[in-house]
Amino acid sequence: MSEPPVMTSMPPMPPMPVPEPVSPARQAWRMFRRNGAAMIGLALLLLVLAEAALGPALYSVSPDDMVWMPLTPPGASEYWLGTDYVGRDLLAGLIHGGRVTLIVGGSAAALTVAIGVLVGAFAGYYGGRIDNALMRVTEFFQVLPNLLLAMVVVMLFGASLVNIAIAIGAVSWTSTARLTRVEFMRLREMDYVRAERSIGASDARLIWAVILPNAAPPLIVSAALSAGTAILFEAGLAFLGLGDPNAMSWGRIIGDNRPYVLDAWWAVTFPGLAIFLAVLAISLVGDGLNDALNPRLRER
Amino acid sequence: MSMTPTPPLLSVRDLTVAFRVRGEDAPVVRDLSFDLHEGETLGIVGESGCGKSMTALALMGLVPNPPGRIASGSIRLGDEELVAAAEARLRRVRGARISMVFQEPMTSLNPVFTVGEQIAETARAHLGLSAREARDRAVEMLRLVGIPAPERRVGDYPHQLSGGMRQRVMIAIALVCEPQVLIADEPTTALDVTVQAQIFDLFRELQDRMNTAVILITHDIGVVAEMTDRVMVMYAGRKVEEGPAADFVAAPRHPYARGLVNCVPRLVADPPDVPEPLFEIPGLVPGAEALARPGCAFAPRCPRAMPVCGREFPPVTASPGGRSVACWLDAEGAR
Repeated sequence: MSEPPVMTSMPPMPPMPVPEPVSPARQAWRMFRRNGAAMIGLALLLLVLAEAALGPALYSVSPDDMVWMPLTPPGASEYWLGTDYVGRDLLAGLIHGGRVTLIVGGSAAALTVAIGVLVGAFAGYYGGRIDNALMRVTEFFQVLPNLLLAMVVVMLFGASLVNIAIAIGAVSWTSTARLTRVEFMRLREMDYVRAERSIGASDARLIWAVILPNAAPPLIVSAALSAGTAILFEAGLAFLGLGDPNAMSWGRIIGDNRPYVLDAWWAVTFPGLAIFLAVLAISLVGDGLNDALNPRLRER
Repeated sequence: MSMTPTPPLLSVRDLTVAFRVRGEDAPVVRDLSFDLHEGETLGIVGESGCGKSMTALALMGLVPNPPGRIASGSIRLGDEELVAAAEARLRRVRGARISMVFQEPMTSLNPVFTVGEQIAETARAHLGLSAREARDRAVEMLRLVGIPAPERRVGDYPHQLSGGMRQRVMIAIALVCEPQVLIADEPTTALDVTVQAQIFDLFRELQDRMNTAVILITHDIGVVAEMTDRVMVMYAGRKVEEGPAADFVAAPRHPYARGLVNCVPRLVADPPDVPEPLFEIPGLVPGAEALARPGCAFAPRCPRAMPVCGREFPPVTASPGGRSVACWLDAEGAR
């Protein structure tokens, strides 16, 4: 072999890997997956959701029936978590209440986002007088004390689950509206919005199909966090005795057993823990989404 | 080079676009008239702020309002008047009959949709294609604009493409409905020179194929010489000279146009020992508030300004070969 080794031909280059098209959602999921706290939150959240979806079917004790001696401590009977002040099974209450809490919290959050995005999108996109008018309305709702307004709504229209969800949604949409508005004001000046306009896109298309998807990341995070807030809100209303009397919820269990706190710690502790875990799970997921969807963090 | 006697495809008459600045109307485009024929390439040349881009936006009906508006004049596309047409009507014209390629390919594509979706959307909106057909059309358009492996690229997001590729995608979007008029507003300023050449080749090829009329907005005299059939020079919102591109580049008439052409360095076979300094036009483009003044807006910077230049805007002097110039020097000579 006379050729010096440096002259030998290079091994053939491996073909350039062609990166698969990565959708923004998939990219976000990759970021999310690497976030330990967020994954714990997601697991917890799935657990809570599974409990709410399947629990009542698997555990057939009614949360409304008196089944044992009132204020039985946990482990003292066949009802593991004990009973409340009228002898209802606490575990049944937790399982059924979870469903109610999540439904009310979820639909209140959905309403919050719907109103907030609608108001914010129109204000931010059109600007000028429309913006002015919508922002004054927003400020009006912002200066009202939220809990008080929600209480008034529930007292006036009755404490049904639907009314409670509406009351919560009606008082908490303002921050979502402001966030959406700012995003729309920023995005409507982008070149691609101008370009879309130049190929004949209508205002409706620009708002919903062009700008909104680009504004989605912070809105998704805000939606997740508002679900947590809504659950706390619902618990708060129920604690004050404004829950739906026909539906067992976590907040209502705490509210009902409030006078017996010193005698029966379990009756308030377990539903309190349940609320804590559900809100923690949502917060962790929301935080993880924030990291995963933040373009500045995604670059790494 | 006389134009065919067929009626022009696009006809602009006395177009004035005004912007409201501190309570006063400043005309950023003023009494502009020009024609565009099928298959023709018209270059619009001028410095930043001369009204080139605003002219383009006016043609699209996209003058930002407020503060801008089309104050007067007419824009006819075929036999349809676009000034004061209803917004819904204009939307059907935009993208379908007139479309536009913007300066910034890096930011002109929507980052959250694939390029295929963006091309297909335009096709669906204007041509009423089904989702399936629109996708096929997107692939076909990507192939047409010279993107390799279009079947795969159709699923790419904008951030996965280079600047040149993105501009090709923008062109694909602009051409998907086979518009009669394509406005390209400095389509290659953000791209490097080799990519620029490719993009212009692409323009020529597509123009041959579709017989699209192109309005090419640029400040690059080289591009004008290479790409356009006819040139229109704008200064401070007005047309100051118009003519066939070759004649114009060889012998510009208006002092401003001469300045523009002379600003371009030339390669000479036998350079002098002491190279001449590169020509520059003294002064700056006048601001919007200066636009309303009487007289020729170029007069303060003009090496051959005369007293009359400051008083009255010169008449347009037409000469054989389709050339015209708005300058007192020519007006005097014609007398």
